Amino acid sequence: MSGSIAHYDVAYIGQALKENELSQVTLPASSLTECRGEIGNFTLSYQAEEELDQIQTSNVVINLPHQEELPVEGCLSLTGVGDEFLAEADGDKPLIIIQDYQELSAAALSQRGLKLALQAKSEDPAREVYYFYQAMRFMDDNDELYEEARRQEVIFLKHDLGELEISQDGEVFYSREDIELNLSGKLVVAPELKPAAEVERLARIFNITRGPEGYLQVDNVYLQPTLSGKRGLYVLGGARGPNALTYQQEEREYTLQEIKRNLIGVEELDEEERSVDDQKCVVCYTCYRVCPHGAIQRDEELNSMQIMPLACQSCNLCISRCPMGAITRSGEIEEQPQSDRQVIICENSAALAREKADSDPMAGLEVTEVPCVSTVKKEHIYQRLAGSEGDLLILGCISEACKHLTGHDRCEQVVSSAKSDLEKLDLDPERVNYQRLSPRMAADLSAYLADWKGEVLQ
Amino acid sequence: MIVGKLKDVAEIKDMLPEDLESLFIIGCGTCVSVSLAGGEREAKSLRDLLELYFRSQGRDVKVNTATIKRQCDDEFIDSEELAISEHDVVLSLACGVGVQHLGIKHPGKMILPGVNTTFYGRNSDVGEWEEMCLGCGDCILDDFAGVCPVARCSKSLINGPCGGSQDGKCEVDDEIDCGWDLIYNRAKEIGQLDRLLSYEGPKDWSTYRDGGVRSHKNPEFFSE
Repeated sequence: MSGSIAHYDVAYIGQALKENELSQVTLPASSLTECRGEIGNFTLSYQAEEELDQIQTSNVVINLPHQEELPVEGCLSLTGVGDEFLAEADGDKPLIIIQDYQELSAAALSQRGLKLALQAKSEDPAREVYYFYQAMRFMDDNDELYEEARRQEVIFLKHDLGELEISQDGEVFYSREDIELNLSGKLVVAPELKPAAEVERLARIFNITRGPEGYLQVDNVYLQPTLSGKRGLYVLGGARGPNALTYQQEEREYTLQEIKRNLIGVEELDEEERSVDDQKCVVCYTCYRVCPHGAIQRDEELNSMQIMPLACQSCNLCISRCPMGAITRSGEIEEQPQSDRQVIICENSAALAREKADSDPMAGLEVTEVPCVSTVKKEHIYQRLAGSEGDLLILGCISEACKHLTGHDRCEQVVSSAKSDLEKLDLDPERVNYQRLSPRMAADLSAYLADWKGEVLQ
Repeated sequence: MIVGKLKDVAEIKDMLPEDLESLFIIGCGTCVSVSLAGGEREAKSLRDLLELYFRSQGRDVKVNTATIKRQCDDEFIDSEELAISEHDVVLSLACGVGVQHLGIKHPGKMILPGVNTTFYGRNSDVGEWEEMCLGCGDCILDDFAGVCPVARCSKSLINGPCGGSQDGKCEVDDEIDCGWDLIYNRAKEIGQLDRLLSYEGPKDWSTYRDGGVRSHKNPEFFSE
């Protein structure tokens, strides 16, 4: 380890962005071994030649290229053909460009394809250029390129499932309605984009959730365009998602603006304090594993988990899942309400939908607003049921609009387990209900609550 | 680590005496807390659920909880001696060791198990554990590229896989990895395939259950 640790404004994992105002360092993804700390003061450990070294940084950007897979072995990739390609000896053969062969290609690939088609026509207007596509995707000047290509007599052919086939030796068979084509020539295919190499390891190092396709950004409105679930960590390119190529410039500008804003100062997101009792904590890492914001690490001196206050986004999921009840928050109320019609609502969805409704759909109900429904502990559910003869309704968020990413799923798991246990004891599981909403669903909320109140009253 | 699983709540309910007046649920703050089966969270949830149940039955049963660091050591359970004596029945959420240790320390008290002790395992994902060790008393991991044929082959075979191994899966259940597939692949990875070629004689099971109930002493604590 080096004696003093250098501190940078931003550390790039992968490729750096062009920016002169920020102090920056670039580390290869494969060298990174550990990340500790939070926004403003991350410490990254990495393998430097023969020894481990460390740097400190206020922000981290993971910017790695997509991995590419060609849908047919041996053909040329749209991203891999250079200027010399069209000038090659067999320039008299038709040029065949294919996008969306097995999955839809990103708009940036459409742009490359269109530019290649136009370049071919400009070098040799007589050359036949075929362009197969399922859906032309537009960004920047793609629409103008497309119009120009049509004027230059590029032959655009739309294909759908099963209508286009590329053989092992590069021949193209196309059959649609009354058109049947069997083509051979210079074949260039849009590659399928896959998550960057190393993202699985990076997700572990930064303790962030990966989406179902493996990218480091999950499909969630709160994370657009380049935020990860962890404050101060941004994801670009093949780390972010399949469409990251489309708005590259805008996303880079956004990321740099965010970083500069962070450097002015970062505040805690909540006034409540959350703390871990180091005498109760058994270092099981459950809080670390469930935290959707990578806001927990082990305090090496105390050998206890600790919540990083700037990284914490106040969902309370760690509190409700700690097996030892070792995590508490300053505003926690132990006494549970005891009315017959109780509703627990998320402040990010049902609470907003409630405000938008014409008349208060929750009038007459005992409402508890929580930062995330993952705040709800199993014992809260039983205590509320014990305190009344009535029902309990919990209103969480839809997946893509859950500010705490996995919070709604975690709550649903708890509710489902509680209902199952109630049933096993011949207690009525229907006294507990769970429903998901987005903030826009004011009408749905009113309708659902009207039904629910009706059922409860019966 | 010892891995446990909270018993089905209906089974817990059925094991409680019909004339029960007070129940003391004791969580254990080590292995079963880490395996999310019997720590304070489970103890408190179970308390509240059973209270709800007793109320629905019109029964007035007092249910209390405490969670102590380890139920398998005297020093930790001493602090709960008074509370234990004040309740009819203790429901221990420790592994089988803790339940019995409480019984040894409180011979006159009914101590019931709330957790099934499942195996010695590792955490393989959030809320997920896998068996790794059988506690056979004679570790042979060095001969098998660090993958235990005793614990991770469903048949504990030590001279290669059975005929039921297919595509890396076990014939007992295709959710189970074939232990011998794991052994082979890891031995190949670390260049030790040749070690698998030697014939292993019958394993001496006297260090396991076949030798009877086991105990051992650390000689540094005893004089001859």
